[in-house]
Amino acid sequence: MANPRIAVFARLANGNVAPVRVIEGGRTRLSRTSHAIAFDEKKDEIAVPNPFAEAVLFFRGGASGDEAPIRTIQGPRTLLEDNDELALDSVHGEVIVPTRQALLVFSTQANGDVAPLRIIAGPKTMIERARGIAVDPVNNIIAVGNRDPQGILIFNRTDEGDVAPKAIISGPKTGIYTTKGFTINAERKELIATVEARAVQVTRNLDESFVGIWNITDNGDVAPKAIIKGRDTLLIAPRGAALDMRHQEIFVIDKVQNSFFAYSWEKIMEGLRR
Amino acid sequence: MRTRLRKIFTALLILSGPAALLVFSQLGGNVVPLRHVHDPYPVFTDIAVDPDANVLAVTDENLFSLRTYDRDLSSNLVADPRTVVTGTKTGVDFICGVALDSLNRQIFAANNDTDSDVVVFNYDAQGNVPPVRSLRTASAGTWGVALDLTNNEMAVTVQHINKVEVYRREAKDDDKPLRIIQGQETGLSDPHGIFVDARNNELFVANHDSYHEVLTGESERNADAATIARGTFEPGAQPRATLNLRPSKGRFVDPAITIYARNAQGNAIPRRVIRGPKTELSLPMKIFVDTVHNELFVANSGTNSILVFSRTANGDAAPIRKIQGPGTGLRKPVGLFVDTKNDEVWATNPEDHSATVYRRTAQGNAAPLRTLRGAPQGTPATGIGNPGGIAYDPLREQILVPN
Repeated sequence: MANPRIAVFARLANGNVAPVRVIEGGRTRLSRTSHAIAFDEKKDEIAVPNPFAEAVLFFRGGASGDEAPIRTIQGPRTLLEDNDELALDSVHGEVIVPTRQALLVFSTQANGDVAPLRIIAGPKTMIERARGIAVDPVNNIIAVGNRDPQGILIFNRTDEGDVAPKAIISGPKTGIYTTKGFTINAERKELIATVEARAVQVTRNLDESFVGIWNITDNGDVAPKAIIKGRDTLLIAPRGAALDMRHQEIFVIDKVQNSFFAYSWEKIMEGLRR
Repeated sequence: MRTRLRKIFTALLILSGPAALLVFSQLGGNVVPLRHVHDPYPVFTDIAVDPDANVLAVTDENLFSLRTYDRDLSSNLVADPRTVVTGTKTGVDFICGVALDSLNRQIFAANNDTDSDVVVFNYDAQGNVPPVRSLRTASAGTWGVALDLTNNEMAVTVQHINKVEVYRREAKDDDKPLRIIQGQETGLSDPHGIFVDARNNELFVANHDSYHEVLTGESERNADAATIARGTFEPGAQPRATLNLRPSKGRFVDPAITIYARNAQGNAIPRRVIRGPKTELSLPMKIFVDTVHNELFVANSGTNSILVFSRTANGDAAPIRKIQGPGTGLRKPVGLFVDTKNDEVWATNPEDHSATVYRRTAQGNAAPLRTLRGAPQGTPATGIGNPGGIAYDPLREQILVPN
């Protein structure tokens, strides 16, 4: 929908249903083109980027209606630019914001014009138009999608400056044309990435894009260990993904379908190959 | 060395394609979703009317369609469209702005996001048909489209780079704009609605509250996102971007209507700016200037209202009247059109799958004269549009989706 907003649905929502609440209105400072959102379970907060105002907004977890953010990271010292995504580490209290060529790490307590705690950037990082990001606070990695080399760059969570990735998942066996959204299953040490097939936004074909699951220790030209892919999945252009391990489910949102899907994690794991 | 590695990688990609397909075919994964949250109905975004032809056109950004209806349709049931243009041949994608060329009986519609073309169809186009012509106005983020039939021009807003582009009406493919408005002095911020007032030689733009600095002539910094989306991206084919961390210049501003000379260009200072608390502007979307009665209409999404200003309003000016209240049926209005021939004003309500029409002079909690429905009355709307992110709140067992 053309209106900037965050829609909140019940976990068991199905079919054509209205959200149970909506955060929207002039006070929210939301814009469209927020390509990621994170929930901080520890602080009961929502974090969302506003790239058009070069800001990161934090809301109460139960925010509703035309409610203002409780904190906003914005200003010259933040170095924010083209910041349409983010990932949140509730264990260490950090939010990681990719820009085109850098990863900026802020405290989740940050408010106003604050400098990043750390910056990962420089030629050794190979970061080129980062797209999709996740942080694993248990196994201490950051995974980020990359344009060139096409694939997934994996850094140590505490990396800083011009550092090479500790691993790169890239190559023909990976099936990656472009990654869009990431999440991590820290307990199982698995990285889940949505992968958009070439030109699928034009062709709108089912059975081409997929959600891939890799081990966080994978490196090089490695096929995913399991996938969600095929006509029955209804996926065309998957974007973000989120896990609910208590109920053993994964949620995937699709840009072309203007929909989100819930899949059984156990069912996906039946296809496990390694 | 790097180039050679890229060539080797590309060759491997081609040669090992079948092997990769074999690996994938063995992985399975064709899993039926447990649940699927989806709105199966058209969601009306923008609206335009040709009263002489009795045609009303709406864009539908949910099912990616462009629809026409009879303007005077009077029914509370789901409306039967005259035409529906949709499908991969049409170029209709995340479609937003629409304008009608009543002289040449053509529909102009602007795609937003990464397939950011303006597509043009004849009034009677139907089904999965290619447009008469399309124009690549920007690599991403075109939203509003306005026609100036007096001067044979078309103008668009480009959200991502705070820009107005003005083209020949018949521009196509990669034609360049005749002129642009862009830069720090323009007051453009996340621009949406646009209107060209050829009678008074002015151009109006509706701006949201999110501002980041863009220099005059600056192109989309994430143009590669569009090449990826269109499937034309090749690794190594484009130069690597250089690291350019710079002090952030983003800030929040008050929403505004900025008014320029019709032929303004470059880093143009607006002639007038309607901005301030008295204006009640909040997420202003489509705007329309009624040159017969010298009034400016605004679809004010943030307050579920249609605001009406004097055409020459300036500064912190209060609306001269507004349509607002529970009886109006206005729900986050986006599209707007003033039909001076029939003395009516239309608005779209995406969260209600409807377009509602009022007397042009209506004010207050006025009931619509008619309602055009894309779904049965009371049908819920998911409100998901062009989504990118999703998160799970385990404390409340809820799913969060931003637009």
